[in-house]
Amino acid sequence: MTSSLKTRRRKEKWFRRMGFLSLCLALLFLGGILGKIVYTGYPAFFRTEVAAQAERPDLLNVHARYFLKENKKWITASDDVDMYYKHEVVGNLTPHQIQAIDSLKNQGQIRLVFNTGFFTHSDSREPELAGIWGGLIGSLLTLFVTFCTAFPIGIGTALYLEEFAPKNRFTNWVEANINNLAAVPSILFGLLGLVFFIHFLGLPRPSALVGGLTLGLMSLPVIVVATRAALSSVPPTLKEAALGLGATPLQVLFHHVVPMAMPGIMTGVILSLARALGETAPLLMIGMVAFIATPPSTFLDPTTVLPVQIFNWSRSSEMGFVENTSGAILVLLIVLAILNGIAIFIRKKFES
Amino acid sequence: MDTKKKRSKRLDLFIFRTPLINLRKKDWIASEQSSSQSRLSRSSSRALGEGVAIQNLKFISYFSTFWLWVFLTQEVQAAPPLRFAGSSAVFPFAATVGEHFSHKFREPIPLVEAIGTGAGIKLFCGNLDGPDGAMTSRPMTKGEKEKCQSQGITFEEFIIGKDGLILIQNKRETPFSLTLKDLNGALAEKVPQGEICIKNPHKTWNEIQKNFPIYPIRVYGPAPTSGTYDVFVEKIRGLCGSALRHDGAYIEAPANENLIVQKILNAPQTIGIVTFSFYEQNKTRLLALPIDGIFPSITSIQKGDYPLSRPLYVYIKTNKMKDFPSRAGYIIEFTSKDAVGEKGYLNKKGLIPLSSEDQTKMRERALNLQSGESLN
Repeated sequence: MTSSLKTRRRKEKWFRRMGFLSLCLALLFLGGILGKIVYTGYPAFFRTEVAAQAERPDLLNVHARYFLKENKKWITASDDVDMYYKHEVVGNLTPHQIQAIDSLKNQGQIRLVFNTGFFTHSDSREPELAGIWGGLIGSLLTLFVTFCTAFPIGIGTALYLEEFAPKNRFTNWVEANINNLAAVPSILFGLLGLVFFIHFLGLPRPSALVGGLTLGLMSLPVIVVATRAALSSVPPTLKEAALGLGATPLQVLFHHVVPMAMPGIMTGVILSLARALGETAPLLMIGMVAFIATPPSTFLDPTTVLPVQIFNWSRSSEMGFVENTSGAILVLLIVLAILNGIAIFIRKKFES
Repeated sequence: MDTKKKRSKRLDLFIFRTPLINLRKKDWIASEQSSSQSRLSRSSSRALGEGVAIQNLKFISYFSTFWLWVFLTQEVQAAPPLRFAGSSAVFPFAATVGEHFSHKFREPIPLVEAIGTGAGIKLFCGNLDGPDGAMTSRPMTKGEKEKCQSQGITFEEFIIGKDGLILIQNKRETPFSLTLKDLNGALAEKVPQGEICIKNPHKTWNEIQKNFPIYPIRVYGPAPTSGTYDVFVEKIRGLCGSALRHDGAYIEAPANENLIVQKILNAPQTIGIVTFSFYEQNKTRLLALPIDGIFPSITSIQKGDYPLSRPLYVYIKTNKMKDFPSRAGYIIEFTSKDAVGEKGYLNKKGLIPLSSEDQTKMRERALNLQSGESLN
């Protein structure tokens, strides 16, 4: 008896230790990845500026003195200078240029400032001027279209399948297919989008509309599955009580079941949208992997999204794009964290 | 025109839906008023149920309003920018020229897609409304040209510069000089032995030439989807076909040359194949292997002495040049001294300029395109 207790206790101890170890391992990997990205990415938030001296400030207009500080205007330096000033990488600079930079440094005519352009500029082939604004706006537009397609259709499908559809072979078949679709590689949805939205419907090629619809198709099965799970977790006694009091099935659904299931539904929707936000593969198929330097203003303008911009930057030969890539990844992670935060907030709000 | 018809059909659907809801809503209010008088009657619960359904219809109408808005805004579009599609080797140059072109002439920044040479030509030749230009790392084949002509597409070919494929090694390794034949022996799937072709038996470099290093053959290079791969395979082609080996000696790196550079920096005794711009950017950390005794440099690639070099092409549509003046403007900028000259901004990005005679030839061709436009 005592010996069996001992072995059981030991087993439990071991199990706990293994669990703790795997948690540590997961945290180590996460920390490693995040640390590497932050380490390589944070210089992207700073840029080097060189002072352009006004030779004869007395000839300028009177108000110019407010724009010029100590008779000089700061202008963004080239990426080679930026790399040299930040990391001492010589790159394509000539010895003469390096000498010039060093002497500027001694005179205080070169400085490092917060890179606001990284957030307000759109894509560029020059790493010192490139920013994420266009990608961010494109991502938000695309996500909005995704939400407007996937949310109503997904919820509607789930409600019908869970509450109204007769249980027969056909609905079983549909169910199995939806579950399968949730696990289909995302690039296949890209192919579907290419064939249906671009070739068949003739919608404009790299637009937020096509991207959003394709991502909407991708997140649809996930939303359906999550919503059905949330709906089926509502206790049947509640439904029966409402039915017993004379409510119609539709009333039961919208007055009792849906409000109860709302936290689960919202979590599913927002998590699938978060996945859509980080997706690149289907967008490769529908031509959103393009250099687009003007932020989109409508849903049909040429659009690129943040993950695609990161992908494009990572393929560039310029050294400056390495840190830009990591910087953009950081921004994408922050956006994702905000989305997930909203999911948690909404869940808490509906639960209370 | 076809799509427009479809669109209007869809619009009708949305327009009719909205008044329908309003109508039902009135009914609902009326029925609710009546239901308050006879609360327990069956009709009241039915009406309430309908009310809920109508509330949901309202919910749907929000989404449909959004879609209505999307389809209405479709008509309001500014002049579309130029569009280019094709090779990822030309992509950085075309995009850079696009930016300069836009800043210089206050035009919208062209849209440049890097989808590979073959796919780019397919898009370019597939439709008259397709991209305005194709970027390729090899000349268009006869079949592709015929396909273009069958669609009624006329175009002009421009060579914008040259690019080299550089075999890179970590700076710590000892360099050795290869010939194209050595490369064929190292990387081809089948190699000649006497009269017949056999499966490539070479495991280490010194099996090919005695004085080569003893480490195993491991080469990271472009994937078969890229034009770079086509060029490389064609250049090292031997007697026994052009396929590269699949037994792990040649490792395909998916369309990201930074990964190849990283790999070479971290793994000893490996060789990578990258384009000139990537070598240029990492010159301080990498070593280039000479091919046939010639080191890759701007002059050796420009003169064509370096064997693994290739010209880069841009094709521009010449249909209705009058309607698209920016096409000519763009290619004039592309062939200008500012861009492709010896000290041009593309040179800084890793493009190797053409000889000055070829440059003037291309420039004249571009200028002719513009003057031809005024004649039409």
